[in-house]
Amino acid sequence: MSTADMTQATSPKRVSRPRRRFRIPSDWILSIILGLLGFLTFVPLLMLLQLSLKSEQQMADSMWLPTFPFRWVNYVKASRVMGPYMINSAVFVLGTVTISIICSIFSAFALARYPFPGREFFFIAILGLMMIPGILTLIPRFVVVVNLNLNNTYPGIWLPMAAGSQAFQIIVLRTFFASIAEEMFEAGRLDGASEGRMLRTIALPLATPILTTLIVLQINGVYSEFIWPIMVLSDPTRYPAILGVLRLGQLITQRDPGAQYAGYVIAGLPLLLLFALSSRAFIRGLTSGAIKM
Amino acid sequence: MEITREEPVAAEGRSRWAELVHNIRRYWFCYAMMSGTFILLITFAYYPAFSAFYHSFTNWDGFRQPDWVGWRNYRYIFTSTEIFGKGFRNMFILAAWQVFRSSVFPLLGAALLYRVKSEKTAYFFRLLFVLPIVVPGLVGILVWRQLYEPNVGLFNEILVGLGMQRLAWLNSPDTALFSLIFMGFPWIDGVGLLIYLAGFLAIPLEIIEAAIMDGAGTVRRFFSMELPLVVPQIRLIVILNVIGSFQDFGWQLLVTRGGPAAATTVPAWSMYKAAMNEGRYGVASAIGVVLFILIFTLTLINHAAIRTDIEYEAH
Repeated sequence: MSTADMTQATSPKRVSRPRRRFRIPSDWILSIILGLLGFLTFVPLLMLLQLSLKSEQQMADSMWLPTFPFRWVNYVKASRVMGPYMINSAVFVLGTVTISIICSIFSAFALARYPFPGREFFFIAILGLMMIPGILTLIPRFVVVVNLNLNNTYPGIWLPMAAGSQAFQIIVLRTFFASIAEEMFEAGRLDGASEGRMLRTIALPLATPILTTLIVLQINGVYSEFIWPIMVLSDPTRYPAILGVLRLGQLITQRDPGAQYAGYVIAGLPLLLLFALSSRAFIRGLTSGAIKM
Repeated sequence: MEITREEPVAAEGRSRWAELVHNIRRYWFCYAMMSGTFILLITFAYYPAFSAFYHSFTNWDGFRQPDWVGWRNYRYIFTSTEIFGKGFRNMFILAAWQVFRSSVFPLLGAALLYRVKSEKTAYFFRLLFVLPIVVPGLVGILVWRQLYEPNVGLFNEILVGLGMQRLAWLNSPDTALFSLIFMGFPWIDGVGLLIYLAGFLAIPLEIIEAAIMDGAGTVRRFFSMELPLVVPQIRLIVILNVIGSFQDFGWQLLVTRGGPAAATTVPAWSMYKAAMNEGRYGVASAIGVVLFILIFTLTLINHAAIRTDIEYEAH
């Protein structure tokens, strides 16, 4: 179900396009229209960038047009404030992704390769999660975290967020593991490899691309998540970068709105970097994310 | 789907029960492998879901032993002007716009991009439209809030420049909801664009050539061929966006607090507020259940849509 749809949605096969001999509008006109749409889409970001390079006086003179010289010092100030929050974010992302990916690899491998009693039951229990929207469980989940004394702790972020991505990751990985030819494992078994060793040396290396996609997608999700951290973290010094942004106003002296905007930009940089490093996996992840509910 | 040849051995003379025990012992490591996942899921997914349903019928304050109150929370929701009258109305208006913005503009963008002949240009624009996705939602909201700022905001500067009246945007009940809707104009959603583009690229060349032979122009081809062929994608994207918009309360949490005068409130925000600000966890649970029922219905429709997708592929 999900995979058939995913392959359809995610592999934009570059079918060779109809070329010259057909009469279609030239690239030139298309580029102008697309460029205009693209420019409009980017206006808010361009505005953010130019604001982040202004002093307060420059803003008073001209709020929405770039002024010179650029005040790069805004970035120095903002990064000093954002530093600790960035570290918090890194801890949240690393913890969540590690817990989540390890759990889903094990579960998906078991579900894909061994006919243990109750396999269908467990798989349906995981599939059924796709039917439960986050909004239904948000409040009770918060109470669970408080009752477990996990509020205001790192595991209070890691564990619930890892739980939230299990269904999607397991379904994708299970399909992949099930598609590996049994002969490869048969050969491993003949060579005396243990089941754990086969997972490590046969299944995981083959799964690297799909794991990359899942990890990139999850980093993106955890990094941008702000509602759950607002609920769970009562100590603002533990906020992730995305929420640190909200505190820039108080932390940088009121007289320096430019530095505040620079902070917004800095909060967006890690994802930009992630995108630059892995645009292929990123795009594949986002389009496959469409089947996530 | 059978994926392993290592079938459970049915030993002669052993009862089914003994065989089950035998297989459980043989595959004990499978349960161990899944234990991490299921500890997480029971604690943070199954139990909370059960808890939401159960406590929606109680006067739960989150922590003390609650009393059973029957349908009182639901009656409260459906008689409250803020939650039901305004909240659900706003939610449906926002969702309706979500339908529009997730279909029309990304589809237009994809249709244009599909016609670009040069691979390089196509790649450039694809990247251009995908890039805004990496901007975290919170940053987007804060930037748009600044654009809407009544005194020095970009939009009012433009309105003044055009010789028109300033608008209060988020600060007036008349324009606040519109401001939320308008955020992100011109709404070329990168994910939608990629999925529509993939749909267009999957159209077999023979069909396109046949259409061209028959003299179908570019506009005609779009409406009678490309558009019908990406209907499954449109349905999928639209439903997922609607489901997402039902659950979204980022603007309310960060900027509007549902105001002014409940003009931007949505049920998801009422739910958050009932629990986190007012301690009425029972009411919050009931709102969660109502949203769940709405979303569940849409999910079922979505699954029907996915099934048609596969049929379309199989033909």
